[in-house]
Amino acid sequence: MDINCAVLTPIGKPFEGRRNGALSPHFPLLALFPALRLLSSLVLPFMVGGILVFFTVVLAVKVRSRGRRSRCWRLYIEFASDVFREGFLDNQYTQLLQLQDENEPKFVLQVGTLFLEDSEKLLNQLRGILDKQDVDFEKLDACVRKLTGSSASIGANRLKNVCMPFHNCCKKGSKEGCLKCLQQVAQEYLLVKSKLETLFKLEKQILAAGVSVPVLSLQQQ
Amino acid sequence: MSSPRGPKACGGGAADRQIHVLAVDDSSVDRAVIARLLRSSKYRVTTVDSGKKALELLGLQEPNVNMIITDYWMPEMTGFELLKIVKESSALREIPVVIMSSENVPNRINRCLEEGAEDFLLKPVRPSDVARLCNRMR
Repeated sequence: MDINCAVLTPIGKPFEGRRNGALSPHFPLLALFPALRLLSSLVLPFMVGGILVFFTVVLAVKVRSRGRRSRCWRLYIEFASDVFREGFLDNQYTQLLQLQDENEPKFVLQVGTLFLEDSEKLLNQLRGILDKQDVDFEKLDACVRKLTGSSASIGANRLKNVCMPFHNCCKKGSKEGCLKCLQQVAQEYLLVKSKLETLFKLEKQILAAGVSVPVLSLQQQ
Repeated sequence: MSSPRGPKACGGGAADRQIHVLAVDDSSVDRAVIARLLRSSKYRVTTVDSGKKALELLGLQEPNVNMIITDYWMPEMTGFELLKIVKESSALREIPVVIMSSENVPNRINRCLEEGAEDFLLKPVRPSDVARLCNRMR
Protein backbone atom coordinates (compact mmCIF):
# COMPACT_ATOMS: atom_id res chain seq x y z
CA MET A 1 0.00 0.00 0.00
CA ASP A 2 1.45 3.34 -1.03
CA ILE A 3 1.52 6.11 1.45
CA ASN A 4 1.32 9.66 0.29
CA CYS A 5 3.04 12.05 2.57
CA ALA A 6 3.31 15.70 2.26
CA VAL A 7 6.71 16.92 3.30
CA LEU A 8 7.80 20.48 3.57
CA THR A 9 10.97 21.34 1.73
CA PRO A 10 13.24 24.01 3.18
CA ILE A 11 11.66 26.69 1.08
CA GLY A 12 8.33 25.60 2.32
CA LYS A 13 6.95 24.12 -0.82
CA PRO A 14 5.07 20.99 -0.14
CA PHE A 15 5.67 18.14 -2.39
CA GLU A 16 4.28 14.78 -2.57
CA GLY A 17 6.44 11.81 -2.47
CA ARG A 18 6.02 8.13 -2.33
CA ARG A 19 7.72 6.16 0.33
CA ASN A 20 8.94 3.54 -1.97
CA GLY A 21 9.40 5.74 -4.98
CA ALA A 22 12.30 7.86 -6.04
CA LEU A 23 11.95 11.56 -5.54
CA SER A 24 11.71 13.38 -8.80
CA PRO A 25 14.15 16.35 -8.94
CA HIS A 26 12.52 19.77 -8.94
CA PHE A 27 15.57 21.58 -10.38
CA PRO A 28 17.14 19.84 -13.32
CA LEU A 29 20.88 20.58 -13.82
CA LEU A 30 20.32 22.67 -16.92
CA ALA A 31 17.83 24.78 -15.04
CA LEU A 32 20.63 25.57 -12.59
CA PHE A 33 22.69 27.21 -15.30
CA PRO A 34 20.78 30.49 -15.58
CA ALA A 35 20.79 30.72 -11.78
CA LEU A 36 24.53 30.24 -11.81
CA ARG A 37 24.90 32.95 -14.44
CA LEU A 38 22.82 35.32 -12.34
CA LEU A 39 24.89 34.42 -9.33
CA SER A 40 28.15 35.07 -11.14
CA SER A 41 27.06 38.40 -12.56
CA LEU A 42 25.97 39.69 -9.15
CA VAL A 43 28.32 38.02 -6.70
CA LEU A 44 31.56 38.01 -8.67
CA PRO A 45 32.04 41.79 -8.81
CA PHE A 46 31.38 41.92 -5.08
CA MET A 47 33.92 39.18 -4.51
CA VAL A 48 36.55 40.90 -6.61
CA GLY A 49 35.77 44.20 -4.98
CA GLY A 50 35.97 42.58 -1.56
CA ILE A 51 39.35 41.05 -2.28
CA LEU A 52 40.67 44.37 -3.52
CA VAL A 53 39.40 46.16 -0.42
CA PHE A 54 40.94 43.48 1.77
CA PHE A 55 44.36 43.85 0.21
CA THR A 56 44.16 47.64 0.36
CA VAL A 57 43.32 47.48 4.05
CA VAL A 58 46.14 45.02 4.70
CA LEU A 59 48.57 47.28 2.86
CA ALA A 60 47.33 50.34 4.72
CA VAL A 61 47.76 48.57 8.03
CA LYS A 62 51.27 47.43 7.09
CA VAL A 63 52.28 50.93 5.99
CA ARG A 64 50.78 52.45 9.10
CA SER A 65 52.40 49.92 11.41
CA ARG A 66 55.74 50.39 9.64
CA GLY A 67 55.24 54.09 10.19
CA ARG A 68 54.39 53.40 13.81
CA ARG A 69 57.45 51.15 14.22
CA SER A 70 59.79 53.73 12.77
CA ARG A 71 58.16 56.41 14.90
CA CYS A 72 58.72 54.26 18.03
CA TRP A 73 62.35 53.77 17.01
CA ARG A 74 62.84 57.46 16.34
CA LEU A 75 61.32 58.45 19.69
CA TYR A 76 63.49 55.95 21.53
CA ILE A 77 66.71 56.97 19.80
CA GLU A 78 66.01 60.70 20.23
CA PHE A 79 65.22 60.29 23.90
CA ALA A 80 68.16 57.97 24.55
CA SER A 81 70.51 60.40 22.77
CA ASP A 82 69.38 63.24 25.03
CA VAL A 83 69.80 61.08 28.12
CA PHE A 84 73.37 60.22 27.14
CA ARG A 85 74.23 63.74 26.04
CA GLU A 86 73.10 65.15 29.39
CA GLY A 87 75.25 62.57 31.17
CA PHE A 88 72.48 60.76 33.00
CA LEU A 89 73.69 57.46 31.60
CA ASP A 90 77.05 56.49 30.20
CA ASN A 91 78.72 53.77 28.21
CA GLN A 92 78.15 51.20 30.95
CA TYR A 93 74.43 51.29 30.10
CA THR A 94 75.08 50.67 26.42
CA GLN A 95 77.39 47.77 27.35
CA LEU A 96 74.54 46.27 29.37
CA LEU A 97 72.19 46.71 26.38
CA GLN A 98 74.66 44.76 24.28
CA LEU A 99 74.45 41.89 26.76
CA GLN A 100 70.75 41.51 25.98
CA ASP A 101 69.91 38.70 23.60
CA GLU A 102 67.19 36.17 22.88
CA ASN A 103 68.22 34.20 26.00
CA GLU A 104 67.77 37.21 28.25
CA PRO A 105 65.72 39.79 26.33
CA LYS A 106 64.71 41.76 29.41
CA PHE A 107 68.09 41.88 31.09
CA VAL A 108 68.45 45.67 31.19
CA LEU A 109 64.86 46.13 32.37
CA GLN A 110 65.51 43.64 35.20
CA VAL A 111 68.80 45.22 36.25
CA GLY A 112 67.31 48.70 35.95
CA THR A 113 64.39 47.70 38.16
CA LEU A 114 66.77 46.18 40.74
CA PHE A 115 68.78 49.40 40.68
CA LEU A 116 65.70 51.57 41.31
CA GLU A 117 64.47 49.34 44.17
CA ASP A 118 67.95 49.14 45.68
CA SER A 119 68.47 52.91 45.47
CA GLU A 120 65.13 53.69 47.16
CA LYS A 121 66.15 51.43 50.04
CA LEU A 122 69.59 53.02 50.30
CA LEU A 123 68.16 56.55 50.27
CA ASN A 124 65.77 55.61 53.07
CA GLN A 125 68.67 54.12 55.03
CA LEU A 126 70.70 57.29 54.51
CA ARG A 127 67.81 59.42 55.75
CA GLY A 128 67.40 57.14 58.76
CA ILE A 129 71.07 57.36 59.73
CA LEU A 130 71.15 61.15 59.38
CA ASP A 131 67.92 61.49 61.37
CA LYS A 132 69.63 60.23 64.53
CA GLN A 133 71.21 62.47 67.11
CA ASP A 134 74.49 60.60 66.90
CA VAL A 135 75.27 60.00 63.27
CA ASP A 136 77.11 56.78 62.53
CA PHE A 137 79.38 58.11 59.80
CA GLU A 138 80.91 54.73 59.09
CA LYS A 139 77.52 53.21 58.42
CA LEU A 140 76.64 56.27 56.36
CA ASP A 141 79.80 55.90 54.33
CA ALA A 142 79.11 52.20 53.70
CA CYS A 143 75.65 53.11 52.39
CA VAL A 144 77.01 55.81 50.12
CA ARG A 145 79.61 53.37 48.82
CA LYS A 146 76.87 50.89 47.94
CA LEU A 147 74.92 53.56 46.08
CA THR A 148 78.05 54.68 44.24
CA GLY A 149 78.75 51.08 43.26
CA SER A 150 75.31 50.29 41.92
CA SER A 151 75.13 53.64 40.08
CA ALA A 152 78.40 52.80 38.37
CA SER A 153 77.17 49.31 37.51
CA ILE A 154 74.05 50.57 35.73
CA GLY A 155 75.89 53.51 34.16
CA ALA A 156 74.06 56.22 36.14
CA ASN A 157 76.95 58.63 35.68
CA ARG A 158 75.59 61.84 37.24
CA LEU A 159 74.29 60.02 40.30
CA LYS A 160 77.65 58.31 40.77
CA ASN A 161 79.45 61.68 40.56
CA VAL A 162 77.12 63.29 43.07
CA CYS A 163 77.96 60.49 45.56
CA MET A 164 81.65 61.50 45.65
CA PRO A 165 81.24 64.73 47.72
CA PHE A 166 78.89 62.76 50.00
CA HIS A 167 81.67 60.23 50.54
CA ASN A 168 84.05 63.09 51.50
CA CYS A 169 81.56 64.61 53.95
CA CYS A 170 81.20 61.23 55.64
CA LYS A 171 84.98 61.03 56.07
CA LYS A 172 85.04 64.55 57.56
CA GLY A 173 82.16 63.67 59.86
CA SER A 174 80.15 66.73 58.87
CA LYS A 175 76.44 66.21 59.52
CA GLU A 176 75.44 69.44 57.82
CA GLY A 177 77.54 68.65 54.78
CA CYS A 178 76.07 65.17 54.62
CA LEU A 179 72.51 66.49 54.78
CA LYS A 180 73.18 68.81 51.84
CA CYS A 181 74.79 65.96 49.92
CA LEU A 182 71.81 63.73 50.63
CA GLN A 183 69.50 66.35 49.17
CA GLN A 184 71.58 66.52 46.00
CA VAL A 185 71.79 62.75 45.73
CA ALA A 186 68.03 62.38 46.22
CA GLN A 187 67.37 64.99 43.53
CA GLU A 188 69.75 63.37 41.09
CA TYR A 189 68.25 59.98 41.80
CA LEU A 190 64.74 61.22 40.93
CA LEU A 191 66.01 62.58 37.64
CA VAL A 192 67.74 59.36 36.57
CA LYS A 193 64.75 57.35 37.78
CA SER A 194 62.44 59.29 35.47
CA LYS A 195 64.86 58.88 32.53
CA LEU A 196 65.17 55.13 33.08
CA GLU A 197 61.40 54.66 33.46
CA THR A 198 60.79 56.55 30.20
CA LEU A 199 63.44 54.47 28.42
CA PHE A 200 61.81 51.26 29.63
CA LYS A 201 58.37 52.50 28.52
CA LEU A 202 59.70 53.37 25.05
CA GLU A 203 61.42 50.00 24.80
CA LYS A 204 58.14 48.26 25.63
CA GLN A 205 56.41 50.25 22.87
CA ILE A 206 59.02 49.15 20.34
CA LEU A 207 58.65 45.52 21.37
CA ALA A 208 54.84 45.82 21.18
CA ALA A 209 55.22 47.14 17.62
CA GLY A 210 56.97 43.87 16.81
CA VAL A 211 60.50 45.21 16.40
CA SER A 212 63.62 44.57 18.41
CA VAL A 213 65.11 47.37 20.49
CA PRO A 214 67.97 49.15 18.70
CA VAL A 215 71.35 48.49 20.23
CA LEU A 216 72.82 51.88 21.04
CA SER A 217 76.46 52.68 20.97
CA LEU A 218 78.09 55.88 22.06
CA GLN A 219 80.26 57.67 19.56
CA GLN A 220 83.26 59.16 21.21
CA GLN A 221 83.65 62.85 20.42
CA MET B 1 98.69 25.88 34.89
CA SER B 2 96.70 22.66 35.10
CA SER B 3 94.40 21.70 37.93
CA PRO B 4 92.15 18.73 38.60
CA ARG B 5 89.17 20.82 37.74
CA GLY B 6 91.10 22.24 34.82
CA PRO B 7 88.76 23.76 32.26
CA LYS B 8 89.57 23.34 28.61
CA ALA B 9 88.01 26.56 27.46
CA CYS B 10 85.25 28.78 28.58
CA GLY B 11 82.19 28.15 26.57
CA GLY B 12 81.59 24.98 24.61
CA GLY B 13 81.95 21.46 25.85
CA ALA B 14 79.49 19.33 27.76
CA ALA B 15 77.64 20.74 30.73
CA ASP B 16 79.81 18.81 33.15
CA ARG B 17 82.91 20.45 31.67
CA GLN B 18 81.41 23.89 31.97
CA ILE B 19 83.28 26.20 34.31
CA HIS B 20 81.27 26.87 37.45
CA VAL B 21 81.81 30.30 38.96
CA LEU B 22 80.67 31.35 42.41
CA ALA B 23 79.94 35.09 42.41
CA VAL B 24 79.80 36.82 45.79
CA ASP B 25 78.40 40.35 46.08
CA ASP B 26 76.07 42.02 48.55
CA SER B 27 74.64 44.34 45.84
CA SER B 28 71.73 42.84 43.90
CA VAL B 29 72.52 45.06 40.91
CA ASP B 30 76.15 43.94 40.77
CA ARG B 31 75.16 40.29 41.24
CA ALA B 32 72.80 40.53 38.26
CA VAL B 33 75.43 42.22 36.10
CA ILE B 34 78.31 39.88 36.93
CA ALA B 35 76.05 36.83 36.51
CA ARG B 36 74.97 38.00 33.04
CA LEU B 37 78.54 38.80 32.02
CA LEU B 38 79.71 35.36 33.10
CA ARG B 39 76.75 33.54 31.54
CA SER B 40 77.25 35.28 28.21
CA SER B 41 80.77 33.80 28.27
CA LYS B 42 79.11 30.41 28.83
CA TYR B 43 80.15 30.01 32.46
CA ARG B 44 77.76 28.34 34.86
CA VAL B 45 77.08 30.85 37.66
CA THR B 46 75.88 30.62 41.24
CA THR B 47 75.40 33.91 43.11
CA VAL B 48 75.39 34.50 46.84
CA ASP B 49 75.14 37.76 48.75
CA SER B 50 77.73 37.19 51.47
CA GLY B 51 81.06 35.55 52.28
CA LYS B 52 79.33 33.42 54.91
CA LYS B 53 76.93 31.94 52.33
CA ALA B 54 79.84 31.41 49.95
CA LEU B 55 81.69 29.35 52.56
CA GLU B 56 78.55 27.35 53.30
CA LEU B 57 78.28 26.47 49.64
CA LEU B 58 82.00 25.69 49.36
CA GLY B 59 81.76 23.44 52.41
CA LEU B 60 79.33 21.12 50.66
CA GLN B 61 80.33 17.63 49.58
CA GLU B 62 80.66 18.47 45.90
CA PRO B 63 80.78 22.22 45.51
CA ASN B 64 82.22 21.83 42.05
CA VAL B 65 83.31 25.44 41.98
CA ASN B 66 86.06 26.28 39.50
CA MET B 67 86.42 29.95 40.32
CA ILE B 68 85.29 32.44 42.94
CA ILE B 69 84.68 36.06 42.04
CA THR B 70 83.96 38.30 44.98
CA ASP B 71 83.32 41.93 45.79
CA TYR B 72 85.83 43.48 48.16
CA TRP B 73 83.58 45.58 50.36
CA MET B 74 80.88 43.50 51.98
CA PRO B 75 79.36 43.79 55.46
CA GLU B 76 80.43 41.19 58.06
CA MET B 77 83.07 39.52 55.85
CA THR B 78 85.03 41.37 53.21
CA GLY B 79 86.22 39.78 49.99
CA PHE B 80 89.75 39.90 51.36
CA GLU B 81 88.74 37.91 54.44
CA LEU B 82 86.98 35.39 52.21
CA LEU B 83 90.13 35.13 50.09
CA LYS B 84 92.26 34.43 53.16
CA ILE B 85 89.92 31.70 54.41
CA VAL B 86 89.85 30.02 50.99
CA LYS B 87 93.64 30.11 50.62
CA GLU B 88 94.17 28.77 54.13
CA SER B 89 91.86 25.82 53.50
CA SER B 90 93.50 22.70 52.09
CA ALA B 91 90.29 21.73 50.34
CA LEU B 92 89.69 25.09 48.72
CA ARG B 93 93.08 26.71 48.16
CA GLU B 94 93.34 25.52 44.55
CA ILE B 95 90.25 27.49 43.54
CA PRO B 96 91.24 30.77 41.85
CA VAL B 97 89.76 33.82 43.55
CA VAL B 98 89.13 37.09 41.75
CA ILE B 99 88.42 40.27 43.70
CA MET B 100 86.23 43.12 42.41
CA SER B 101 86.14 46.63 43.75
CA SER B 102 84.79 49.99 42.67
CA GLU B 103 87.73 51.71 44.35
CA ASN B 104 91.15 51.83 42.77
CA VAL B 105 93.39 51.57 45.84
CA PRO B 106 96.85 50.23 44.87
CA ASN B 107 97.66 49.01 48.41
CA ARG B 108 94.47 47.04 48.52
CA ILE B 109 95.13 45.53 45.12
CA ASN B 110 98.66 44.51 46.08
CA ARG B 111 97.53 43.03 49.39
CA CYS B 112 94.95 40.88 47.62
CA LEU B 113 97.38 39.70 45.00
CA GLU B 114 99.95 38.88 47.67
CA GLU B 115 97.37 36.90 49.57
CA GLY B 116 96.89 34.76 46.46
CA ALA B 117 94.14 36.45 44.44
CA GLU B 118 94.14 35.44 40.81
CA ASP B 119 93.14 38.87 39.59
CA PHE B 120 91.69 42.16 40.73
CA LEU B 121 88.93 43.76 38.66
CA LEU B 122 87.76 47.33 38.91
CA LYS B 123 84.03 47.83 38.86
CA PRO B 124 82.00 48.29 36.78
CA VAL B 125 83.16 44.98 35.33
CA ARG B 126 83.28 44.94 31.53
CA PRO B 127 82.88 42.10 29.06
CA SER B 128 86.57 42.54 28.22
CA ASP B 129 87.49 41.84 31.87
CA VAL B 130 85.58 38.58 31.77
CA ALA B 131 87.22 37.67 28.46
CA ARG B 132 90.62 38.25 30.06
CA LEU B 133 89.68 35.91 32.93
CA CYS B 134 88.60 33.34 30.42
CA ASN B 135 92.01 33.44 28.75
CA ARG B 136 93.80 33.09 32.07
CA MET B 137 91.69 30.09 33.00
CA ARG B 138 92.94 28.13 30.00
